[in-house]
Amino acid sequence: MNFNSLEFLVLLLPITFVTFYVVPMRLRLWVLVVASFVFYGASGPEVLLAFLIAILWGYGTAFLFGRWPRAGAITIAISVPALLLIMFKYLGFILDTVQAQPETRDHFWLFFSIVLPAGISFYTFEIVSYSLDVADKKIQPERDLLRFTSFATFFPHLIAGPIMRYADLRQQLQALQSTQVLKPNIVSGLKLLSIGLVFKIFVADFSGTRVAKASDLPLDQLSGIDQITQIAFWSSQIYYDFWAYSVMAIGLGRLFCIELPVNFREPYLSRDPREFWQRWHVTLSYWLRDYVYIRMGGRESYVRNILIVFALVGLWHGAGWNFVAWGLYHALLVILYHLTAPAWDRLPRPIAVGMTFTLVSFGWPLFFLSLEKYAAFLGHLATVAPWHTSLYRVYDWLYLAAIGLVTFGLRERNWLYNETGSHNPVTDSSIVTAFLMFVGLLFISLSRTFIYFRF
Amino acid sequence: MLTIEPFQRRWLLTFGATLALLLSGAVALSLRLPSFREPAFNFYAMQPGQIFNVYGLTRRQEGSVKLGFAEAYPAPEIGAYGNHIIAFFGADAFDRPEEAEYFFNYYYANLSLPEIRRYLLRVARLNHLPKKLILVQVTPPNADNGGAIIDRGNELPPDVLLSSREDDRGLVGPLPLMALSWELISNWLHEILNYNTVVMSLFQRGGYEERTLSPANCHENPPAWLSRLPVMLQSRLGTYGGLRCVPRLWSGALRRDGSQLVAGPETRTPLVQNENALKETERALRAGDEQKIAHEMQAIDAIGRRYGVKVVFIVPPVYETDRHDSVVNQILDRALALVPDVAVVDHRNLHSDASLFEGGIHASAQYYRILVEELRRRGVVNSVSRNQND
Repeated sequence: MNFNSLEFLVLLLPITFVTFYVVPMRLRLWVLVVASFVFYGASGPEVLLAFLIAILWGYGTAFLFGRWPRAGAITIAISVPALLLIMFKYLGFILDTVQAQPETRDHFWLFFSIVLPAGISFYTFEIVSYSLDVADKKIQPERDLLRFTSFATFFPHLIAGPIMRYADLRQQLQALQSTQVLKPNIVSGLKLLSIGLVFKIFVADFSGTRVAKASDLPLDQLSGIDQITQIAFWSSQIYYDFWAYSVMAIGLGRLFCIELPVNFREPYLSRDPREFWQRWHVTLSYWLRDYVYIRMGGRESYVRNILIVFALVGLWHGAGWNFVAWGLYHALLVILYHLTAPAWDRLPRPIAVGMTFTLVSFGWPLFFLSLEKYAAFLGHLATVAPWHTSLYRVYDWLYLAAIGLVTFGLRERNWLYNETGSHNPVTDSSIVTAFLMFVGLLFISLSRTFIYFRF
Repeated sequence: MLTIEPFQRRWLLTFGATLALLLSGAVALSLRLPSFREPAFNFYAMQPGQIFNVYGLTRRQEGSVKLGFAEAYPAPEIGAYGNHIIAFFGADAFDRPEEAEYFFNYYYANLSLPEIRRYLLRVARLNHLPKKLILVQVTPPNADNGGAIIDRGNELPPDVLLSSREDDRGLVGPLPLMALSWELISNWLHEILNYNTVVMSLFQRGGYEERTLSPANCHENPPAWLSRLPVMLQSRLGTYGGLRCVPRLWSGALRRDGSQLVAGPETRTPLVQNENALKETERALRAGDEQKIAHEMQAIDAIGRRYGVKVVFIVPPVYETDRHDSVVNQILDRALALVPDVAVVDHRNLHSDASLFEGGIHASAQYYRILVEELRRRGVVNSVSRNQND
């Protein structure tokens, strides 16, 4: 199931919400767990089983720490979640890379034919972080299986993050079990849910249809301006797809008195590539920083470690060499910035932001194109006559301009999160929110699966 | 228990009232829409060369035109059942141009096998199954990455789902009944909460008479100002203004034999090879689905045997490079291996000849001649033909 489905918004969410606040407080987490299993189980029983195995393994092996040698316990604890991730997500990529024979692939038919479990990269990272935090004695092993299951399964962050640490959620979950009268921020929750839904349909998915308009044509029918426009639509599609999910997740969390962190902090306003990764998918960046980069020595071997971490970032996003290349491309950008920081930092802000945005945008096609196609795409762009457009029209550029205005001109802390205590007469209006929700529901059939859905 | 601050209470009250008002409006508007099912449209009464213009109909209405016809009128000798994939399968493939009394294409929206089974059960109860041959299309897996084969698309009206329930032998116990209830609710939600339903209920014009026309006799030129507008506006304004001779409005129009009119150059979509990229993340079939597919095929075949009508499944090709080893194709391969006694014409191998396609996933009239040749070779068509020329 997904946030942008009628079944979720009109049936599961209202039923869960009402039940959650009606039952005695000791049953609240049960309500969330059951709802999360329904939400996740809609993808099929096999994927639910894999998820349950990962949860129970993470829960059970946490008690090995302190009793077994540390390295052995860590290996045991992360082995099964990591193995499930490899078998479901990376097996095909590995076999393709080693050019395995068809007979070899036949041995793994079961894994190939089961649909990639939704959110497997997210929940694997969460369970692994829990094990490592217990190993590092940052947290105590959780004895309450229900609470631990609630942490792993809480449906707002289950499919596409943010990647939570147990320490972030533990107290909030405890509060749900022990506070008689809850004070949810329903207004903010509904506002974020409605805005996220509308942006998903009318910005992310609509941008996707404009991208497809060019993707359906052979390259030789595209002009340079067509390709540039396509890249701009890719930038819009990817960002607002992730952004919308995160905003909806935060809104849903607030409906149930759980505060989830902001995962995308206006990344296109970054002045440099390093700042971009402090704003883009923040919880993934911090996860890799804490559990990979620092453990490898951090700045001691900066270039090597950055290359490794970003190759992992690429692989995390998808099992393919194009994703690895995308990660390495960002590694090069970060290293480039590292080497030129004094000069880069002196650039006027609009130029630095524009440059970073442009560099980041040129990487997005790698999300969708194989390496060969990406090379051909860039090759065509470098040689084709730039200004003749055969594909996109004025309204496409007007639409992009409107998205650009929102992206670069408005501050989320004001119009979306009200962090400054401000009240926006439009976005905070109950009537506007109801209207947005209604429009989102009406047009939901146009919506596509979130890109992160099966990451 | 929860506590809500006074400000939130006021906000929520306004929010709830506004949303309830808007949703009630959507329900009320959807009730305004004519069903296009009763009274039924009679395709047999159309003249050869005439078309039934479906522009501006909702997806449900468009399907209902054919469903109503299937319910009200006896089927011809051969009937094809499936979804838009076989839209261009016409009687001319049998060398009987638009002869609806011999062949009718009942394709409907995006029906999958479970929905086709219910559709057939419905018409079987009315004794309106084809007399000799039922052709059932299986969506080629690479067309929709395994979609529209066994997944359900909320396409059929609820009463058809319910009416086929008694005949549905698999439906015993609480779980299938819960699944049916879920399907009914979901079906209703998708019909009501749909922009198309709301928009069309405001702007829809034209009953059967206004929608039936002969393009060959269409001498009424659309006004010049109309052709200067963007395509979408042309179509909307044309429908609203009753301008029937606008070729763009004929997109998806139905011919006398139920097949779709081949689009003119104004609306023809480019032929795209490998139209569906077969992204692993969007795959609609998974392990174990081969059993479900086989089960559905056997159930449909059993309907034919129960009523003495031959059933042949067809798997049309998709315009693509050699992608036979895709996971979804392999799952269908395994399903077909489970039903050796069911007649299947599997043409997935005809994927590379562009002339056999009207679009990346829609086979052309030329392909259907090949299909009919194959049916003749197997003796399926000859055995049902009353015409010696066949």
